[in-house]
Amino acid sequence: MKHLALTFASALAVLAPWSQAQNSDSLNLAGDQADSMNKLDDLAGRAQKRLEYILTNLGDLQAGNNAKKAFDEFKDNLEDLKDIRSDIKDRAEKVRDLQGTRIAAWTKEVSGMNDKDMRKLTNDQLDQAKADFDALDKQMREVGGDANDLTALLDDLKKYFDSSYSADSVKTAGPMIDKARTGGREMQKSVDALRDTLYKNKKEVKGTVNQ
Amino acid sequence: MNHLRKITFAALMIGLTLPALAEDLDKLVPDAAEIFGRFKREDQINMGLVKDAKGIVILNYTGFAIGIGGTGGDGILMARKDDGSWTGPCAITTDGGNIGIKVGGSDNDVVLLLMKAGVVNRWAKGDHFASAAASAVLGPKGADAVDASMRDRDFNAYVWNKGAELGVSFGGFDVNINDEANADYYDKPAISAEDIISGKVAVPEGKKEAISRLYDLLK
Repeated sequence: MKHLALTFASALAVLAPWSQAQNSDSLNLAGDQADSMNKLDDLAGRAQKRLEYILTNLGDLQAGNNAKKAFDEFKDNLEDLKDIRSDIKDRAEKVRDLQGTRIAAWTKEVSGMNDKDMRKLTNDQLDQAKADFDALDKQMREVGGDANDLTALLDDLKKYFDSSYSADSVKTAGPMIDKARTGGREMQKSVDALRDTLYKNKKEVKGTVNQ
Repeated sequence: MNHLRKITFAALMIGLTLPALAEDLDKLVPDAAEIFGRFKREDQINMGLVKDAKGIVILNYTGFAIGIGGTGGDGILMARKDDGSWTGPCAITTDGGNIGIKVGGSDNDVVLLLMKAGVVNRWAKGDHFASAAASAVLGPKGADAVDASMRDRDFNAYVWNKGAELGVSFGGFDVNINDEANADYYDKPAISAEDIISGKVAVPEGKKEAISRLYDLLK
């Protein structure tokens, strides 16, 4: 029995590197990219939740519901949001890098194909993958730009209240709070739309892995 | 060994008797949006059936006694108003029995589409649902065809566990209304679940932007 187990383990040890070698560079990179897209989606979800907390804080601030507590929570939530956004920027760069490396590896693999029709078929897939990612990237940059503006406005509100916080100053800053609340609501829609696109891209990339 | 048995028994008893840790609605609403958003994005829920639903329950189960006889869920209940829009959220917890959990796991998301107004009212009253009293099966996915039998069920259930779709099973469970969370959110100490799901009480002005994501996702 022990002998049999040892034989089985040896066979596995021999087979493991062989089975890994079945994946091309581009397929291995596609796996990494899909994982990275998952992490980006998780971060986007965390950012959306934090933004919803902030919108509640601003609403409570304006309504005068336990305003001091709302302001303290607003400051904490804003710091958390900025931290998450920093992670999102890093993760988005990672996804872009992996896209570049994957496409380069895939292009190299296609150029090694002998049959003209086979090369064309794969090149068409490659072009589609590039176009889909370019659309995602454009959307990421647009939402990122809007998120920068919104975060800057929230930061300004924090600075304003840090220097002069009172019921009157909340009233004076009312239009700016309204602007932040409306902007926050629009941001939620944009991020949900972005996550839809991200999910579709991830499915395509994962499909490449599973082929 | 005897000592180990005692510790295990104590741990099991705690798992069986502790109610779910109830959160406030300012946290439950974003959680619900995130849960529902994932079902929708991944085409796991039929939006046509969502439009026909008279109510919706969105719960997260983080109990550690799953698989040994019961756990608790924490989430929200909302009802469809006559004009087609949704009421404000009502904070609820569930105790005992199982909803939607057939296999082990420790972090399950559940969406229940309540297809009958009477069932919505039972949830709002904090009723006990015996296994035989509720008909529920997994609801159709995004692209699936919807038939009349799906609209006639008490619930269409959707369950998620770390990316894996699970089967659904209903044991007996109790619905509890989280009065404290509702009172805080609506700033009305005596508010009832019926007040909320009948639409008599509106979402407070200061909370409207925060809940708008959930309302948008439900469209």
